Amino acid sequence: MPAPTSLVATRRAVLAAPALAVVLAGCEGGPGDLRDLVGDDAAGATDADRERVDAAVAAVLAARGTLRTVTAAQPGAAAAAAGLLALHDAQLSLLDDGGRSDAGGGADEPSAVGSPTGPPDAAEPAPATDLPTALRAVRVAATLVATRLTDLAVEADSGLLARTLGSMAAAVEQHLAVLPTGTAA
Amino acid sequence: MSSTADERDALATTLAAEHAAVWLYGLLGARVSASAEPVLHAGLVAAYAAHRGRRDLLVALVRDDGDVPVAAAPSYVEPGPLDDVAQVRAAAQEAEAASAVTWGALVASTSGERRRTALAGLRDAAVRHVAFGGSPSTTAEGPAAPA
Repeated sequence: MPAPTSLVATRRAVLAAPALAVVLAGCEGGPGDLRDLVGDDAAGATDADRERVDAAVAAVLAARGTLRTVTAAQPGAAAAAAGLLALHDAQLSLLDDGGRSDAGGGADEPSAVGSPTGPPDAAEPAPATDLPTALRAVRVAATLVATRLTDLAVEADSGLLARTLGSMAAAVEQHLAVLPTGTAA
Repeated sequence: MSSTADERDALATTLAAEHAAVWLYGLLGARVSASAEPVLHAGLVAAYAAHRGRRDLLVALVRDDGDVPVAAAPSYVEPGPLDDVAQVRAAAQEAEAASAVTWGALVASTSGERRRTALAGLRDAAVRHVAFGGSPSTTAEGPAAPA
């Protein structure tokens, strides 16, 4: 790493320097109104973006279903997956506007386990016979949903939808980054 | 390459942010002992290299548009006291949180391969945020949502 020579700034330079936090977060990028793009009143969305929102909902539902199945079979994984489950609940609340994805789940909750008609992008976890296997299944499901959300973000017609889906994928990646492996160090 | 005014503005703003990030990590790296805090120091060095790479990529994209890349400021105001490891970690977390917002704005202003590049920048900033000890996002809008 090079020496930070610019740190030896004169008092005048420092006084004239831009505030770092302001520059780093340069884009205010107002939140816009995602409600124009999702739900039954998605008047501002193109047909293709409505389909992308549906696809995003399906991908997150599938990931959540997989996490629930895996943690039910291997309760030791529940704590590690709790953050992802809460995240997916929040994502579904935003994307689905209370439609198919009530936080409590239901009989039609898609799951990759024992569901031959499940979404094609759903993870198919191996039987969670031990904690490392269960956590591996969680990791696979999260990786799949992050990849799917990123691909949908690339394709989106709306910049706001693109940012939202990309940010959702990044949040999943954050949880992946702190997910334990379940193996001894 | 034909870019919209919004895209050009967002590219310039993101480039300015990456200049600041490169400066910041130069500062943070100098405040941490590589022998006493090898993991943190290595993370700061990696972040410095990553932001420098993003900066250089953005410079190339701006030039592709026929524009002149914005230069780094001569200096920046330090983010706050950096007298111990906790303060350095906090500064790095804040920088990456801000970077994720900025890259998210670029995602919204671009399309195609440039948007994919911006998504990678968003993802990397978000993951570095937790690597420096930040908490993963629990909100639906995620780490790119403007505060």
